[in-house]
Amino acid sequence: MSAAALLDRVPAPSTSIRGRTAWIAISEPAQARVIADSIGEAGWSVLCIVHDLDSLQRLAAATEDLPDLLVSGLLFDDGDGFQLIRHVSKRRRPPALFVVSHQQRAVIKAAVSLADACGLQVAGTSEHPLDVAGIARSLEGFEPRRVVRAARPAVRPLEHDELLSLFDRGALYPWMQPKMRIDTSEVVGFEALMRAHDDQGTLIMPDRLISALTAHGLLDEATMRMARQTVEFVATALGEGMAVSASINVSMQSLSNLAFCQELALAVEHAQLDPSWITIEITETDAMADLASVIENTGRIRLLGFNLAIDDFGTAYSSLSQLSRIPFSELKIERAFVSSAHQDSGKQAIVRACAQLGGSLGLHVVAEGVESLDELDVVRRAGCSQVQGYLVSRPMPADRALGWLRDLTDQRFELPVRPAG
Amino acid sequence: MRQPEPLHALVVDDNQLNSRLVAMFLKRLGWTSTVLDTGDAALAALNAESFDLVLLDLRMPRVTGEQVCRSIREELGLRSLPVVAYTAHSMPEEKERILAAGFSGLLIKPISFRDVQDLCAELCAAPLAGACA
Repeated sequence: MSAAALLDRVPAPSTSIRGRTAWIAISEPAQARVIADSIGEAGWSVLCIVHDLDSLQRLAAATEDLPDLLVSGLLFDDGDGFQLIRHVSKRRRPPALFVVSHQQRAVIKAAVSLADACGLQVAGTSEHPLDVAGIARSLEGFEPRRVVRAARPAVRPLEHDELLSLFDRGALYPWMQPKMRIDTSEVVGFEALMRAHDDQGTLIMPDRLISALTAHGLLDEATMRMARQTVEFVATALGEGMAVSASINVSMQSLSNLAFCQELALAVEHAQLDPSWITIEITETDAMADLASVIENTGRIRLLGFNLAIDDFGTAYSSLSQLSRIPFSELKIERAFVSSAHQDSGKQAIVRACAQLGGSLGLHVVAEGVESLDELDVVRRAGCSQVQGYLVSRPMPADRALGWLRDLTDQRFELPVRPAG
Repeated sequence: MRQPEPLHALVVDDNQLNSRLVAMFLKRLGWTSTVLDTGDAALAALNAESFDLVLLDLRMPRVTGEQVCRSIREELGLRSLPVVAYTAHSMPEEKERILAAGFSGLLIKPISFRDVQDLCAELCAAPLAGACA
């Protein structure tokens, strides 16, 4: 059967609306047609309708510009919606996706997650392909992002001498993001996040810094510089009667360096700071490396009196047995599970499980990436003890963080009031 | 009306930033405090004057907090004096061991103002409302 036989070309209306063009990919022709009519009435220019994957791929290959919206089913005679999502997401200007399917909800959700992971905008879903009016209503107010996926501007990696110049100019420093204890609303700590400014004053973020520092063997030195400034920050706060701890991110590579650990201990001693005010954060991926080395390196850090946190929990593949053997004092739940958790029962279950696991192991449980009161409610109910995220504050330079802290009454953060209604 | 004496605490920690912080918290709660940095000095002070509360860091060089607590209970015979240990994060079984050593309560570092406030309220009568236990 030729592709043309499966392809209904729909003449574009004479006044095709910019930014509201659509294709329909649904295996059942009659159903595809009524959906096309219905969303046409809702203001979309339906340019074509296909009923199988092959037709869609040929059509896509023949045109430079994909439409703004693709309304798609999940099952075709020659393949499935997952292949379709993969296929269109490779394009420079991919369409937004609206999924119409009477498959189980878990399958639809997987398709949405895949689209999301592939960078497609998701316009919505419908579990009722026959409810064309409902589909049209969902799409009536939808505004597709007209994002052209530019070839990623090549960010030049930082060179060795540029990194040394950052050190020399004192242009590498921690930005502090507060952590709030949920039961008392007290700000009890900060996470130190690495930032730098180049000589033009442009902010350099950790993704660019860490890779370059690692490549040039300067990560230990940079981490020590962060640690010293963080220690100074905490000592200043304590000296003013503000009880805050701080955490710094340290790689397992640095932790395995004895000289690094000794220098860390010297830094707190020099500031006359009790090391228990400082928490060393290691990523879950680092924590799940060779058990004996991890226990040795983390055990040593605890022996020196520092606290120890497992960061980004839930992103890697934790062995629960290994987790229980590493002397952690804190577990930080990865932001991806917290973000919009109030709308996602799956995420709620993950947050609850992490909080219970951490609590049972006697750890503080911190939810990262909390941006709204709804998300705060979820993590509070789940049993987390602290939150970190934009709801409390974005990261800020250390001097600004101290000022922010001084302005609080009894270190208590006033949560925003939920709008009425 | 005559103001009652403020409650008086003994804070024992070899780390001055810690002890100063605790003293500042206690002051905000209406207490006065004496700050010392060794277990020996603490026992001498307890022998010479009376306190309403003792806060002891467990991790001190030479005489540890647990030894000081034992001496307070056994040698000085101060069995009802509230003596609180403060310590870095500990596992649940460690907490039991610390309480079994004769401590009245436990503060886990890093401490917050609210922790100290709750502890004072739990172990002692409200400040200015009379002597403690």
